[in-house]
Amino acid sequence: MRLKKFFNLLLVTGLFAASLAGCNGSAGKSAGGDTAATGQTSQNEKKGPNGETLASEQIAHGQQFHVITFDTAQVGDSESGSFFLATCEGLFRENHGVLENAGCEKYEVSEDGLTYTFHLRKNKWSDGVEVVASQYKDTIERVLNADLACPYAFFTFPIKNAEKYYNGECDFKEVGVEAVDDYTLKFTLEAPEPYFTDKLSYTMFNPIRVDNIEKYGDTYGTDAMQILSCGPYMVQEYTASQSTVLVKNPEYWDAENVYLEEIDLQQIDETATQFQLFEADQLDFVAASGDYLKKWDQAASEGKCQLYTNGDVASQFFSFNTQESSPSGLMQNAKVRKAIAYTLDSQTFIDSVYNSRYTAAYGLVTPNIKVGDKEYRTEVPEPIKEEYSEYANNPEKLKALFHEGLKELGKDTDNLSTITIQFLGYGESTIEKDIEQYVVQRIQDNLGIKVNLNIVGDFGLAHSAQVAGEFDMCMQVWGADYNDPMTFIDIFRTGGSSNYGKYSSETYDKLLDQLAKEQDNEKRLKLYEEAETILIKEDVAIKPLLYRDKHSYINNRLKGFQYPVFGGKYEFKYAYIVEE
Amino acid sequence: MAKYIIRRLLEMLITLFLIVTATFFLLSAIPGNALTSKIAKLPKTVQTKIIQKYGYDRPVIERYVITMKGLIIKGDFGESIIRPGETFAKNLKAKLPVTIRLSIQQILLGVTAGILLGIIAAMKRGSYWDKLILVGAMFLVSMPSLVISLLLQKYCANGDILKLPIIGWPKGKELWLGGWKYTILPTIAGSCSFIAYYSRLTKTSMLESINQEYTLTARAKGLSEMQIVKNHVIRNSFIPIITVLPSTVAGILTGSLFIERVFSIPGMGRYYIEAVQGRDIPIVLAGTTFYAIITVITMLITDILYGIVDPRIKIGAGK
Repeated sequence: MRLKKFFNLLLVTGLFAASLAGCNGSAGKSAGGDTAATGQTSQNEKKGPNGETLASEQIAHGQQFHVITFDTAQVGDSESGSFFLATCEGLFRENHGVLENAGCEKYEVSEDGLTYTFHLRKNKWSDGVEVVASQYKDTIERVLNADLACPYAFFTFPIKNAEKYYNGECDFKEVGVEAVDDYTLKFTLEAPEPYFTDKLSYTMFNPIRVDNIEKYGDTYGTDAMQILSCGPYMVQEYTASQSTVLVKNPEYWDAENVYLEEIDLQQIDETATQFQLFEADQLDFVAASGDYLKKWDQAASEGKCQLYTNGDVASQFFSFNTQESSPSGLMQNAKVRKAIAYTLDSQTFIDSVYNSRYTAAYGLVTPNIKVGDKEYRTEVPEPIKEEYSEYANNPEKLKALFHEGLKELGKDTDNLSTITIQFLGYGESTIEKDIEQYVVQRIQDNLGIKVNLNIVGDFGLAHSAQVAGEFDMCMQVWGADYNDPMTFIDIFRTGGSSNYGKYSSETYDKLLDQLAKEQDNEKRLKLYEEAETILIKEDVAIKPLLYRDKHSYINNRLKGFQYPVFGGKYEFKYAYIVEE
Repeated sequence: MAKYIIRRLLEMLITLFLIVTATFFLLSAIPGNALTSKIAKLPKTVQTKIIQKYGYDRPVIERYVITMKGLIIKGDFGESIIRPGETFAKNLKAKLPVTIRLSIQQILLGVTAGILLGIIAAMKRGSYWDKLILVGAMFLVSMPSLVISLLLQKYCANGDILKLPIIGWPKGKELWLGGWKYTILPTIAGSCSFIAYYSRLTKTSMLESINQEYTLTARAKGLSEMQIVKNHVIRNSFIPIITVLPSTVAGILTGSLFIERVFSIPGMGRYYIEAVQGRDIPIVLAGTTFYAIITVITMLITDILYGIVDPRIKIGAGK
């Protein structure tokens, strides 16, 4: 009997399900790419910054930022950074790679480069409260609170006594930050740092509202709706890992130059889905890799969308273990390292495995990084481009160099095939495996030694192996944190936390100390050049491979949208939608 | 019966304790933790401060004791390490309804259609219908849900045939009933494997009943084909189907990772995988416990159902 009932129930539910599948119920504003018109505005008459006719509806559709924290002090990633680029105004804002005054109207630096005085602009928070200098000072105090363990706290260490206060060795009164009056903010530094303003543009230095933080207590930073905005946009709606709606902030000082009325963000993890939406004009920008690259580069060249390259200032290289304790016990010798490094030509490498994508690297510092107003890479030639060509495709010369190194170690042998080196790779995808196999092949073919490839697919595992020095050579990628070569050069200071090969050179460390004091940009260029040459050409601590870049595609109707180099992934402030 | 259920529940508690403990120590044994990628680039002084903040400088046993204490006192495993302020319970509240609705729709469509097709295939065995259903089921079973999802998306959402939304999921007031157009494609994509599985299961099970002697007797009595199938065949062939149903429900509640990814549905599957990848121990522990509870309860229900549908099996009888 029971079963009969069950059977009948099944039939009924079956009918119900079938009717569901056929039903096309209406949904209001629930999700997806509903492009319901939101009423007529007077936007029609308004022209874009370059005289374009603006679309009546200024709504951009993008991907939800994977925000980790809504507490500026804890931000250490570009996704959270993107959120604050849209909702907050710091002292500076990057516009097409140039730092522009934003929260400050102007600033002065003292002769000795130690005192920075910022004159703040009149700006308001979204609740109408004025943005004042003490709110910037509060930021420094909060970031330096060691109990909060803020990841980028060290960015404030150039400020006088900041590190001391962080370590509990002095009072906050002694830290070199002062709110002279409501609109004057003064920083005093330990030593001159010519790129200090670049660091100040970082999210973490944004002003904060202590009253708001206290209001939410321990839960502060966990929900976008808690945030008070002092930037071009404010949060209207937020659902974690689903969607966000940002709207124009009327209190923002530069509101008249903000065109977008609304930014709709949806979480879309799957690349295939992202492109489906992009094709259907329901997503205005998308980043590509792999197979999509070719198709969309082509589409961009046909004018179907705009191609945007840039937005990624990262250098990829091999680090050599420079310690006697390396698995092979041979890597402490620079000639051995050089012979291995020179088996591989970066240009041939990217041509073969990346289909000529990216830029072949013969140095560490990537393009786009500046010293003063000069781009470092155009001023300073890459250290090993020339020397490498002497060894290119010359196994005899490479082997001779390798033997020389072995002799210096007292470990020379006629039979190189008895030597094995450990190569620690990292990567989950097949392309990464292909890359690493290619490298192994080059070294084996040229030197006749064996390479034991260990590919780790998990960041935690790879990192532990790197820190423990369980490699002769390992793959490493470094993304710049601020716009100065120091962001790269500083990695290899003795004892540096990401200096996995434990490279240590007195000369190199001295150059870094010298750089910390030097203000003259011409001299700094020379010092950086010297340091990079020692690191790569003389000591061969690393073998540069490539400079990364990103290809992103933007819908033709969206103009002025940027992928900034630092701080965040997306910049909406200058964006607007044109009539098509 | 009650005694049996109480005994099973006690056993469940022990099982859960063992699962939590094993998960904790296994996660701790793997090099690296949730902080690794967060702090890898930072200077050592800052690294130390962050490690201290999350207690990773303490020995594993001490961390285990702290975790278990928190579980007993507060009843949860604590905040996420990757996303401070988030707890599993908070996410469960937001994401479980989504997964439940998706699951219900997938099961209703998949199981019903599967059973109906299975009945047709069995009754018309050897015919073109039978072969069509067999081939169709093979096809659906071998095609990954990711591929089905992408095809549906391409042709039914972005294509010329239908203009359903490409992504999204109803929220707010429409969470349970409403916003149907967002749910159609994910429901179809997820139900395919059930259609395939249940049609084959129903058919095999029915064919077995059809060849039984009681069916022969019914036929000899002169009952109509309809009566035979309805009263004798289907009734008996439902035993295996009812007993696998709970595990289908349990399986689907863990979330359909690919479908959630492709259609950007904020459900449980995506969330749990992210936590595992990020070694977010509090979330992984809570998630594992949650799924373990579902699994253990399912097993209990299945055992009880066995007893109900087949009187020969006596629950909790003797030792």
